[in-house]
Amino acid sequence: MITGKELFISRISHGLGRAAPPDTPTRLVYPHQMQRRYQAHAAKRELRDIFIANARAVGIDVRECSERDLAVALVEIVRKTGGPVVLADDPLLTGDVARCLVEAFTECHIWDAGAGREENMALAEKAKVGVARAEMALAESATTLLSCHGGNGRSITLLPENSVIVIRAETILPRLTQAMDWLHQQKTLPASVNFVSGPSSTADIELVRVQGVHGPLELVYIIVE
Amino acid sequence: MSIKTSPLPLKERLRKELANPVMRTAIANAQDLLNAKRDAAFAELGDFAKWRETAGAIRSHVLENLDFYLSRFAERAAAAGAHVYFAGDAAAATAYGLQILRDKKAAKAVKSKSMVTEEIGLNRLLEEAGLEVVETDLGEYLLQIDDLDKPSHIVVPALHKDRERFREVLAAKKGYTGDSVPENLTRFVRQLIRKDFLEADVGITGCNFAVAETGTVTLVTNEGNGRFVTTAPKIQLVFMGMERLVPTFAELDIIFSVLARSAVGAKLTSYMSLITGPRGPQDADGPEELHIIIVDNGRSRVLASEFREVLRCIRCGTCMLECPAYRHISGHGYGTLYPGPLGLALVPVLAGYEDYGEITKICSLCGACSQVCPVEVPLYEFIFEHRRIIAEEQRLGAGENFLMGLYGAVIGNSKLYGMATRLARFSALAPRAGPLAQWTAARELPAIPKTRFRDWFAARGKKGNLP
Ligand code: SF4
Repeated sequence: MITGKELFISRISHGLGRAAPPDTPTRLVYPHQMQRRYQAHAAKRELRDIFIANARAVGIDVRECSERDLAVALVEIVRKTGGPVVLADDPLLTGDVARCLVEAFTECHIWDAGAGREENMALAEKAKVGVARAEMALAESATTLLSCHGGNGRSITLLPENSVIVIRAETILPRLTQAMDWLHQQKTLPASVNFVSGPSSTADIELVRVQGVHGPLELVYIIVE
Repeated sequence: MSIKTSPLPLKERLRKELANPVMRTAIANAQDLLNAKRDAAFAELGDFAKWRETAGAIRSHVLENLDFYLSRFAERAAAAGAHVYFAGDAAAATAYGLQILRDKKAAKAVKSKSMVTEEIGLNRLLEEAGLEVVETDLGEYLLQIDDLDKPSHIVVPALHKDRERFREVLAAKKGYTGDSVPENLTRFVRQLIRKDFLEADVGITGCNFAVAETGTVTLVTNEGNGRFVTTAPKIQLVFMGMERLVPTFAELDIIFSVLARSAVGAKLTSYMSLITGPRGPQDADGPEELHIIIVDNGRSRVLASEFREVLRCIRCGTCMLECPAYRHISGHGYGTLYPGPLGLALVPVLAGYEDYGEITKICSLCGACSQVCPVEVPLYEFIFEHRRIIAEEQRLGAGENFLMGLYGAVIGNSKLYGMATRLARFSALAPRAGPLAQWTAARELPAIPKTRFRDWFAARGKKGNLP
């Protein structure tokens, strides 16, 4: 629903020297396209190396493994913090991975969108670790893109103290430009898309960086082949 | 709050701030540190001139087509299931927000940092109506519990406080018993606010930029509070200044790329949340209702004026960090919600010369701000123009004094604090002839409105009711 639009917009049109909004906007000409040049010809392996180096530089723990070893890698990570674990309902995570985690830590929940807000959020709030899969990753800023809808609830990578984001190696792209291209191409957008570029942090006290504020205290990326 | 943040007259305000050594050390350190970080971030990015020219062109294009993009944004946001409310002024915006909270019988709201909600005085109104409003940005939270202290910077609001003051406030107001190590202070607040997040009925946010093509609103935070506020509560209210739009995701790329680097010297912030409509039918968490309140509150007046391009501003705070006057008086010295060069360029036209003409005297006209603004707002030129208009209007010998400004009083003749070395970075510091001359010569400007701002403004009455 839209309320109060006519008068509001006409005031703006008036201020711009016309009676009503034009049918089409003027043409936007970019004076430069520098954003498209960043690592435009880099090989996949190079992008992956840049991504890893940039992630480590901001305190993200980066692991690499084959898809087969993902369960083992996750068990090792959760061993440090203990359970419970909450997993996104994603084919990469719900098979072997979930089985192994249940065996090792008993409490491992898969986000069940059908079960409603309270139940899911309560499980995520109790969990020590939340695991989700990224749609893609960006080398320049060590960013992952999360489509938070359906089985990948927003809370999974927000409430638990430790956040683990699984990235498919071939989805690592140069920079934000490519992610925005991807979003632009989507026919429908999920209600929530989150770009994550580090654990939560603040510099509000004397500009001293403190890792871990409202979101996760620790962030782990696992790159799978 | 509102635009005015101090009841004191200008000179008293300046005297007070100049006599505050904790603040002055904090601000000076912050300027040096953040400026160095920003310089490094842009050096790594490369092509700073191209980035800012492109970012500036995008923002200017949006302003030129604002009626078109706002209509499109509203349609697309509504199609995604959001309620879009156009609020002409602060009263309309706050009344709408309050009504929603009342209808929903809400008792508690959590808020992530938002300048426009400060501008329209939302917190006070909600609190007077008996609602609990919790600011969740660490710095804002501390200001809120410290008897509503005022922000001194638009990105790092409690910049004027040191860790000892943080500890004292948390101890006095919230029973904190630990030391003043920033990590411990932060953990303590994390625990406190976590409860509020989970209990709150309503999440209130600003909007860094909205995307017209999809009806998306975005929030940029490092602390994760922006994500929380848009995840846990069942109702979300988004307040956005009417100019905070980009046409498509392609432009969001450019703006976000310069915003994080300018604001905190980071490539991107830890979180950027893109919200398109309320939660979907398959989603368990996220708001069931999303209300987007688009606020004019004087902006259409700015848009119609010769100062239109100040609306390009992306609220990065860089101009404050570069400003030698800000260094000594902090945001508090300005007595306005938007301080520093941005404040001096924007507030007199947003809220009128009568109350906010005098603050333009704070500026030394050194021009540093115009050189660093990532969207090329001609800040120095606008401040000068305000002063010229005011001086001309006064048509007194005092006019010249007005042009000379208060800066001498601010800084003291002998106390240049090594500022000269810092400013030596800028090659274009020679006094510039003719305000706007250089700027307009170098760029293609949108057509300057035929009526001069001061005539227009005078015709509307100085207190400026919206047309
Ligand atoms: S005027 Fe420019 S430098 Fe100042 S806050 Fe706005 S965008 Fe940043």
